[in-house]
Amino acid sequence: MLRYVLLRLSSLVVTLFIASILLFLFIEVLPGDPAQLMLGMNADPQSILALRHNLGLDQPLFWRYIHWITQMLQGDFGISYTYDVSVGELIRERLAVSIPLALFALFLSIGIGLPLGVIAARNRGRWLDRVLMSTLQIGMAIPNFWLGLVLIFVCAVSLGLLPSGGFTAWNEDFFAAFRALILPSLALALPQSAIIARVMRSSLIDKLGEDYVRTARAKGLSKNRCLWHHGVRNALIPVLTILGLQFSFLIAGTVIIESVFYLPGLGRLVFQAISQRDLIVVKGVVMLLVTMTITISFIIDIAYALVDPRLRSA
Amino acid sequence: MVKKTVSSDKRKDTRFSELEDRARSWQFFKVALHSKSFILGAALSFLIITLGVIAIFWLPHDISKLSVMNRFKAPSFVYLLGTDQYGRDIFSMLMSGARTSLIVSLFAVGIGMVIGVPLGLLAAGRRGIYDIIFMRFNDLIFAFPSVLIAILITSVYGQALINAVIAIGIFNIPVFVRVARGGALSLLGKEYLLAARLAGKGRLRITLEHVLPNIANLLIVQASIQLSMAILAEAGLSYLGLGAQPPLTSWGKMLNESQTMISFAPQLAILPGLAIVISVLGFNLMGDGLRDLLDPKLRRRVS
Repeated sequence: MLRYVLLRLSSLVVTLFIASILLFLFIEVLPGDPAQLMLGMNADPQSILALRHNLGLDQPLFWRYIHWITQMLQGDFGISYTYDVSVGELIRERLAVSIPLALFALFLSIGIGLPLGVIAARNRGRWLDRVLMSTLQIGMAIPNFWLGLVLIFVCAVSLGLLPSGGFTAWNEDFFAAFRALILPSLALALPQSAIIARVMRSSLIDKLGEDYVRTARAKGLSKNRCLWHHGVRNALIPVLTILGLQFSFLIAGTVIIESVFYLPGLGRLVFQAISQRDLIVVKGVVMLLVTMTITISFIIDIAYALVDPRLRSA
Repeated sequence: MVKKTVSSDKRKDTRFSELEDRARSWQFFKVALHSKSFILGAALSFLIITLGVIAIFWLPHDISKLSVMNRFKAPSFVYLLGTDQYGRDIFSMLMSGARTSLIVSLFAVGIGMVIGVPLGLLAAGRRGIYDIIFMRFNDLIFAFPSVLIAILITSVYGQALINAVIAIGIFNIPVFVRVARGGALSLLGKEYLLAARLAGKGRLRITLEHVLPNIANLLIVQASIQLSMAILAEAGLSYLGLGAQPPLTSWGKMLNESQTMISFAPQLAILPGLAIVISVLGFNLMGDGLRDLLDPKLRRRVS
């Protein structure tokens, strides 16, 4: 097991390393002169020179990369060019919105998806299963940002139950902050839960057809006990894989949903940065999101190996 | 590869003639016509494709002309679905959006196939270090969702529709690497591949003449599913302003523009969303229907 963890860990480090090089090349080398790009075409040469010096662009490429990486490892993402504050600080502020949003959405999608999958599998072939499966098929086709708009129209504009957008800081009004995240996380979670439910259903049906379930039934175990003890637990493994895959989409979805609900999260930050050509912020946020995705998939791999020892040799 | 064929116990299973094998792999397209979900999916996809293709040559109304007189008209025989805040015919806008959506998705999936399939075949044929490199490469691309790639491209090159095509295309590459690799690996034991080698055909010729035709069905099924995902992604990117730019119309852009008017003109937000759902559902059902028939394990369960 230790060998597997170390092997996976080294591949995590290598992937992160390559990702950071790609990102660095894309932001710092491809545009030609980032300082020129950030200041626009009609900037005077003096200020371009000054910015070049500030950004360290007058130094060799290799040292710039090393500098960027070592700084980032210490939690220093550089100074935002438009806000004139540390990018690390900006990101920390925005994470207070994005992380709870992503986590709520994750828990909601599991909380809705798993039971639906179990119900469908339990009633497989009957009308309830068919109705559920058709609904899920449509649910998968619904774009989360459109669902967000529909939820705004129904819950905020028509019924006036929840705010249609905006965010109050957690320490100002905890309850208001929580309320502001309900619709966005629902919009993110519902299409995801359709996917989880479908995977859970097919995985559970698969497991219920196994010999050990038949043996358990023959032994006299009730149908429900069989379902829970032998079916659901074993069926969870493929769901775990899907969750890992879905996390990447969840992060992408968070970026979009924040725009729908005007939430001051990482997604909004990066969009403002694009329109202001603040490449330092873009670089920092994208690197963070990429790191998160890669790390989550690493954690899921490890969890997977813990559950299923056969995978450790891979 | 050669060794495995000769010594394998499964020798009997692999002793199909290639023609038989190929016939088998295309058979399922005929069987598919008996699957309800496939028929529904194909019908919906056909509807969207037809509207999109017509939109290339003709639209019921000119949507480049703005007319304040015709703002927010209710649906009628002249304006099938009514008009928007600038007096443009919504149905024409949706048709034009279908065109954008289909073009972007086709090119994006095309990029994924053209780059991904050769890489996947190479990984399957050479194994060893190539395999490891390609799998790591897959992991790496997977860490860059298309939204992030689009953000990166836009921040450096500015806004353009091509950004969305490239971003979605890049995200499609690993998918086709995986499908092509898996499909090719499943063919490795086949005797007709060995026969082709004995006949003196080179690696490239064998791949083009024997491997590719035999995994084409897998690739078509995957392409259908990827098309549905590309349509979703394009809508999202256009909604964020990272995709279609004026004067192009896009469902995502329509949704973005409708947002401020949602309290008094909700139909402007509802209709483009429904168009997205219908097309995604269509390509998804079509792909799913085909895939269920491909997977023998599933087929047994159905019958």
